[in-house]
Amino acid sequence: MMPSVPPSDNCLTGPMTPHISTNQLLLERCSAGDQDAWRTLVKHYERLVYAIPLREGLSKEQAAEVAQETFTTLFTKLDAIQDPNRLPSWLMTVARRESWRRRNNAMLLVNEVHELADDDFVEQHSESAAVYSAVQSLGNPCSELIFGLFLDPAEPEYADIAVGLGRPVGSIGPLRGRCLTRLRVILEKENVHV
Amino acid sequence: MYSHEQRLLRLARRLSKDDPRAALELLENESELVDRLLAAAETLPMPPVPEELSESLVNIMASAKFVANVETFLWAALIHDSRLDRELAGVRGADDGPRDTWTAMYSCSEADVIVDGTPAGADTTAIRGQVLSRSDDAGVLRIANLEGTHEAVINDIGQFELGDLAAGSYDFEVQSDRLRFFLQVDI
Repeated sequence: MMPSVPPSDNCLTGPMTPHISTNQLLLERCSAGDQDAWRTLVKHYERLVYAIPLREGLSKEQAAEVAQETFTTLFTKLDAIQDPNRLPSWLMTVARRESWRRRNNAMLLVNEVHELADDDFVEQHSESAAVYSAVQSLGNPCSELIFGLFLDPAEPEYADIAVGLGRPVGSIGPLRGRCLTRLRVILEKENVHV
Repeated sequence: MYSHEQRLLRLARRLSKDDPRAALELLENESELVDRLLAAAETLPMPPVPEELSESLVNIMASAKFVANVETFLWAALIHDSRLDRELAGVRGADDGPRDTWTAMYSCSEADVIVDGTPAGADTTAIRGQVLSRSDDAGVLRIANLEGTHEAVINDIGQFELGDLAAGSYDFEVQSDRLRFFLQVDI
């Protein structure tokens, strides 16, 4: 029997699972056809993937196409991801190449992306991706709170974040503190220096 | 573009409109981590994913699994059409019934299909059919020609019906859980 995937809304006091092992578990479960694991994987990385084509100057519609193509490629290559730790870089590279194809109409072979995983772009953004991925691995409500406070370009108001979480504003401060503590632990376990 | 310090102060204002300085002090307890988060946001902004896109990404697996599970793609051959061969015993006698009512039979290795056509209007035809599958019966029938597409449910005993089809040549696609095949029907 396969181990269960940590739920996306894992509680604050639950076991802290580094996202590296979560990635491995998710990929294994996805390969086995687990729809819930796939949903978790998509929710985990959809913002990262969607951000790449937008950064490359594509429209929202084109960015959506790139995201679909990227996750379709991931689905067809679930068993080929040898290092789950590099999944964010892998996704960024695929999304970037798909963005190039649409922008430049250049025929690039996405099945060679592993060879480009270390290119400058990925290196430049790998730290952002690692931080983002660690935030996502917190699960809700922490991931939503930390994202809203620190990562969302729209910079939502504090009260709006509280409403989105369904919590009183007064509870957000203590929650933020606990979430940041958990995030620090995850990043330290993954050797992302903080 | 805001500087890092400006972003930090903006964050503090969001945390406490009345006393952003106090909020800033609170953030200083986790200053390195907060700096790292803000730097990540500046390097690679990540706007929200539209809900419909998010849902379509989740559905990729289900769609792929459905296609992967369809094991058979076949063309069913016409083996009888009462409009061409009205002598076939057991289907319809040469003089039975109106001549604009017809029956066609198709067959492939995985299924047989019988399609009955009857006039439904001045220039349209209604069809009723029966899929006799070797594996499963229920599914979906899609038919298409240059004018457009129609869809009907094939019930759990393999029957389907569609009305008001204009004359023409149609591609029929029969799809069930583990079977997909095509036939061409002249209406």
